[in-house]
Amino acid sequence: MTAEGKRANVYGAGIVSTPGSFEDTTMRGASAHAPTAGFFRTCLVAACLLWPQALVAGLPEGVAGNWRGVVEIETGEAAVRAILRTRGDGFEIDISLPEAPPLRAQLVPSEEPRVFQVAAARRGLFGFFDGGDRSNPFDGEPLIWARSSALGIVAYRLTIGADGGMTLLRIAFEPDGERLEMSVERRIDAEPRTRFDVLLERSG
Amino acid sequence: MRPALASFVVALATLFFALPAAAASLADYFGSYVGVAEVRDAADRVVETRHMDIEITPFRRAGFRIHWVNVTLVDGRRDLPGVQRRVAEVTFEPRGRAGLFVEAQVVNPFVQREEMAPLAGDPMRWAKLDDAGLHVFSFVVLPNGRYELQTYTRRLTDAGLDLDFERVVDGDTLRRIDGRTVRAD
Repeated sequence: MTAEGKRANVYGAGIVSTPGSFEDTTMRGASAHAPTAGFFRTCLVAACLLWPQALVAGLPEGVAGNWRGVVEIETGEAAVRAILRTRGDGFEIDISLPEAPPLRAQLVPSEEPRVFQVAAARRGLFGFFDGGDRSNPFDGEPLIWARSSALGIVAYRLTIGADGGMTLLRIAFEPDGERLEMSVERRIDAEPRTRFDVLLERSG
Repeated sequence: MRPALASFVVALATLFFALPAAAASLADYFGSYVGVAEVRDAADRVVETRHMDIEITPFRRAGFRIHWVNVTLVDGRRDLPGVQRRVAEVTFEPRGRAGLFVEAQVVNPFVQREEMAPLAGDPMRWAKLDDAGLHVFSFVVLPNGRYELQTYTRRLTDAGLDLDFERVVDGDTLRRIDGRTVRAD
């Protein structure tokens, strides 16, 4: 297939009207879940703890595949490529964007439903054996994770530089007929520097 | 004055004025500050006015501590029922030599130190110092996989310290705070 994806629509950052409490979430420690009652719930929780990947499946329908498109940047046009493959109970992503290092990872279900983490950081029964490989963003290793959205997935990568500067990449995928809509936002030191949408075509 | 000497003086003066102003060091931020801030919601409406009391002090060898008290006013006053007072403190230590500061861990000899787990809800807090100010970041991955980022930028002024705060949830800016303070004796 040779068709190119729709040109990107570049736009500024928007503001939503959802209110939120101030300085409550990030200033807390990890939250704990309340104990559950009843045999069924206990069995369910135990099963989830021992086998967290049983909670969710991999990629939503219409997302998996090899995709490509074109976006306009200051120096002209640039290719965008995304490979999303179901792998086991999780999935693999390989995303190439202009002016950014590629985002490649194998993601598996985390302890939270519909949230995925890099395979080496898995916890639970299997994480017991490989929990020591957890990445530390303060050592320059990117923190990569993903979540399921209503129709697709959203992948994230947080990188903290040696000088304390941060780069946060957020890429959302949603099927749009035979195509795949990709929304990209890149923040550098909390400022949104890049934001665009592009429709990707299948490339093979 | 000889021409050669005059040229040397001119060159020296040119070099002096061409040099950029030295960036503020961490020690320049140490002190106590009091002031006022306006809290704006996502629609950029002022929803609160608060009094701020900020103290920045050294921590251990090369780190720093920020202790602050916010008093949210009621009808512009702090002597009416409903006033809120919040106290917070965070400490940072340098990591490497390039300007990264990471939140200092509380050492408890009776508890084994646990590795940070951002995807289990552990908040990540760090800071950086550059020409634009002293920046503090607080980042957390929420249980639903979205993220929350809070950014505080404190800049030295002739009178004291200015504060810009922003709270972003999964790309949406939900709250901004602009504050002005003066250095307190």
